[in-house]
Amino acid sequence: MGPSGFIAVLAGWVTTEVGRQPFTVHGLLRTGDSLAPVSAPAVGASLMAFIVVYFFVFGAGTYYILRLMGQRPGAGPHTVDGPTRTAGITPAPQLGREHATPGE
Amino acid sequence: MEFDLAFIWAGLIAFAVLTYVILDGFDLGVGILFPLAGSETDRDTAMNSVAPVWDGNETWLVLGGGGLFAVFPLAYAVVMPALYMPITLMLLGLVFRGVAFEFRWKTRKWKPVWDVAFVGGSVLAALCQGIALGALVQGIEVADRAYAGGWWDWLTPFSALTGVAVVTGYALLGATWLVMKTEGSLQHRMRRTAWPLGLATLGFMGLVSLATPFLEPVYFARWFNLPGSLFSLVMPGLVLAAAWALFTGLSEGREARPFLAALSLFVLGFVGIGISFYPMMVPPEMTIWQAAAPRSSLAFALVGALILVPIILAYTGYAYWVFRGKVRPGDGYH
Repeated sequence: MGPSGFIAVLAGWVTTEVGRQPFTVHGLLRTGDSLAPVSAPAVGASLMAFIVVYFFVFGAGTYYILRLMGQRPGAGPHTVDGPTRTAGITPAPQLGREHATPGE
Repeated sequence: MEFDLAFIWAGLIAFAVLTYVILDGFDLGVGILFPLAGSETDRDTAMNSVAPVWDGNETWLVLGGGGLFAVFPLAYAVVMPALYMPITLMLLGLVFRGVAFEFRWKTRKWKPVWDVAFVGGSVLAALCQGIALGALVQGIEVADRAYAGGWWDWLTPFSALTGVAVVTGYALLGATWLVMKTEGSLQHRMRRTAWPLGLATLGFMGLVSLATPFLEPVYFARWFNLPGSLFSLVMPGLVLAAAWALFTGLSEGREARPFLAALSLFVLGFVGIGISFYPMMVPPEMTIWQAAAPRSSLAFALVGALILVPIILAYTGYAYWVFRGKVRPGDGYH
């Protein structure tokens, strides 16, 4: 069931975007008339860049999420000792020092 | 000067952009200075000093960009295609430095990779913002209410100069922020680093200020004819006063004064650009009033802005209050 939420969101979005064609604003502005004067090489280059970056970032993110899901609850190396400032500060490393490579 | 809805909105957008520049400026600056922060502990502390506030700071970019889209659609439609490349690269830079805040702590083996992402993303975002600024100042070619230039027009010696200038200025903001927020070796190191950065920032401000009047005849007329030439006397004086506050603050070992002085330098630079631009929104020809949306849109959106902007200011102020004081090594959540 893991990815079903993602599939639902993407399916809804695709339905909206495809369903409103050929209009950008229904009945008022056609998609072909709403193009920005950006040249094709610029659009192509930015699309490629976003694909590469998203695969890299989402790939890493998915890997970290799956690894987190693979850990048993409460199996982490940390214990709560007293009040902690939580909001906004970056999380503590989720690997303890015992995983550190020699020399660190 | 005409005090109407379009003018109020231009002021609001300018406020949002300035707030973005000074707030995200210091946290991008921390990213730019990251390799100079020293030990791993000091680098962790530097990152933790901006971790609670950096994404809130980027709210103002959304407000500036979204506001421009809603209330100055013509300016938005011209500026975005003209600056397509630098803005796209800026966003990619922000992606990398944004995820680095989270991913860096999830791995040991890949921590250096996310360090590079943090530094590289910060430098790229700052550089592209500076280039975009330079490209706007040097003027954008418009024909028939649309961008009429090519996709490399943004890159000129002047925009490259403003790009490097913004990277340097953000690094100064970052260094003085860390002087204010940290202690010990990191603070000491940043206090030393702030000196050359301050001198370089002033140098770049001087170069850009000298080059700008010769880009467009309207800028020249603004700065060298009355009443605008009065600003030519006042502004350099104020910049020197801010520089004095910066360097004396650094040498006397003050905590907050260098940062406040660096902020003042940015405010003065921004005001200088405003003096050059007014009443234009997109130089050399499009004015605030030509770019504005219909009156009904301006009024409708202003109601929302007048409710939301004070709320954003209040919670932003509260967040900085909660995280006031020094950040200590090892501060993080479990």
